[in-house]
Amino acid sequence: MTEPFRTLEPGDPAPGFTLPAANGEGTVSLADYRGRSPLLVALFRGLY
Amino acid sequence: MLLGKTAEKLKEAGVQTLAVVATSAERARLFFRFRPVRFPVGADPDLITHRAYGLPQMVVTPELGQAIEVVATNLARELKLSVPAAGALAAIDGLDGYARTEADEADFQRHQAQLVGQFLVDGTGIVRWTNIECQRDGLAGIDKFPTDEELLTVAQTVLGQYS
Repeated sequence: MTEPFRTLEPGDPAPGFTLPAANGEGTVSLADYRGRSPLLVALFRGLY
Repeated sequence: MLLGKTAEKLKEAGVQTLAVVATSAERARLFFRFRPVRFPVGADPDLITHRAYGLPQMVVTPELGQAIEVVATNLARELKLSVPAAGALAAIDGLDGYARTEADEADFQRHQAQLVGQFLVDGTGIVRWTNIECQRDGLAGIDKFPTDEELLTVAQTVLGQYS
């Protein structure tokens, strides 16, 4: 396994991102949830 | 996407879900017409988010390819699909009327060594729990997703400490 960068660990700040919405219009952003709700961020390979 | 029911259960526990798929928004929108989901999904064909979250990539080896095909074949068997050797992925995709395209195949070839992960983030933006594919079980962990029970337990106990 190659590991060119450090994997996030508990206690780290979640890196922000804004991406084109894949199932609607506009964008989706991590910042939309800050101060509002806990969040599960799930990153996929391809479409699933 | 297998997250639909999980996301509904998490929502009842006060946790939202945000998914990132590694293909173009155009391709993803077509896909989600066939398989709609009720939570936001972002499109990141260049894996920028995956890198930012430190998800590793595996070296592509025959063993890795075999492990991926085994997962697909097992899933096809569970779905009671009769598939030719090395044809499980396409057969599973065809279940909902969605036909894999050249763009999907290109994504697969480009991303098959990209490991995936899930991160629980509290309301202040701090990561409180992570699950990285293959981190615990090696190749046997390909495509393994936490159970709903595991995620709900984490949401209630780990996030509860920081709310």
